[in-house]
Amino acid sequence: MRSLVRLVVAIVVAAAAAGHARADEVTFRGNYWRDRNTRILQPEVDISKELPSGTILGAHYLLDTITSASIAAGALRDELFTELRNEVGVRLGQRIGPATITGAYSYSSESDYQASLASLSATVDLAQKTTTLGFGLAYGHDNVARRMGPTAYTPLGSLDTITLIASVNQIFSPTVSGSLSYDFGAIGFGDPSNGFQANPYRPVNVGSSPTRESVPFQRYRNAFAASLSWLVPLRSRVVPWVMFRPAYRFYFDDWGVKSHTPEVRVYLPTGLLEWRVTGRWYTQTAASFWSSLSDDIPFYPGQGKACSTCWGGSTVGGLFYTSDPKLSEFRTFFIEARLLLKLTFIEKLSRPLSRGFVELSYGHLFTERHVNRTFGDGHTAGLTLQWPL
Amino acid sequence: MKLVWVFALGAVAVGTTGCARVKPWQREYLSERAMTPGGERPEDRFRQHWQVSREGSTGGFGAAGGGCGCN
Repeated sequence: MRSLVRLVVAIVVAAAAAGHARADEVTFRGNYWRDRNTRILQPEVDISKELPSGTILGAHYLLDTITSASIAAGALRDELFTELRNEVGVRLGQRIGPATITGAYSYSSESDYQASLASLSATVDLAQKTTTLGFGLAYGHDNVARRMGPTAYTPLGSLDTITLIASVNQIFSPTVSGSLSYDFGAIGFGDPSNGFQANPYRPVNVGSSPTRESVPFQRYRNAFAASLSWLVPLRSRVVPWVMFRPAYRFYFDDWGVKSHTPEVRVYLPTGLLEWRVTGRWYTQTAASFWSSLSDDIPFYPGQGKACSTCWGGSTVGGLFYTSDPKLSEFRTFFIEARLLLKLTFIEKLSRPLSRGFVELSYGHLFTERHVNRTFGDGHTAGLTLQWPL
Repeated sequence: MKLVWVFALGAVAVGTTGCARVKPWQREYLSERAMTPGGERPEDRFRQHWQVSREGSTGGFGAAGGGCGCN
């Protein structure tokens, strides 16, 4: 993806830090994304296995195939461009009494962006696994370059990140559980050698001249999340239960972006099928150095704008300018339907395969304002095949 | 800051209710895939992937994935 800098803060084991990830299964998944400018096809495989010794092994591989004509995604002209991104990750965990310690590493590579991420997490079960505490620490190092031609690249800088996660999962009753988590991310540390976060291709209108965007070299992110899983037994042979999972996330960072994300998922099994519907609403404020005309089109009349909310350091006295739609004020709404089919009906053909399932999903992302003008609405689909090992 | 305290108090409240133990034979429904944290990891990883390339915030809910230039 010719693209730019952007950090997907990622912690391969963060799911484990938030609770117990499932083990002993292999998953094949195909992901699809489409909006006005970008199409992504992403096959991936994920495998995990717990040995009798309590050692947990895991690995994943995915291939991003990104076809884009978007300037925001790095295109220099309005022509289709296909980029490949390979990502591979490994996990190694060990159960020690009530605790599980997991280390993980992943590497991602595309033509103008390479990312490494190492993480360490621990979970501790308390009160006969009624309460699970989780802690996670991750360090990432990315190298960023600007494509100058089919085979020529100019290195622009690097991005170092540190992420901390703390979580607690609690079982309240035989049908109700919940979780709380807090994520803190330090993204960059003040100069281009460790905090390059701008998009090298995205132009900004500064004083009526197109200029390459400039954003601070450090960013501190905070995210609080809470969710509740509530299963309601229905005593019916057709629909044995229905489950609700409401969740909420509050996010803020020192660039001035604040967001609220309520979400609800509803699960409904019927025989071999399980239906799931997801609704997600998202709203965010603009970064403090965002500047636009009255119709949301990015524009800086002078030399740029100070980051009035930044926590100091190298950002003091700096003037910044960006046209990144993600740093503007907007709302989105996402709705998705998913159908899961258990494969038990093929038991006579293959007993091992009959223990798995097939999952099919489709979602629609509704956008507005400058995000809609740039990307349009989004469509996403997925196909999953999963079997226990 | 108020929200920080709300979450801190929530965590304490959640922790202190841990003494209401649910026995192993009462966990039939809790073992359902939908009730298991991390049970939908590959799917959630892709959701996080497109969300961080279209939204200004990230984190929470147990992120997953890897760094990319999808800015």
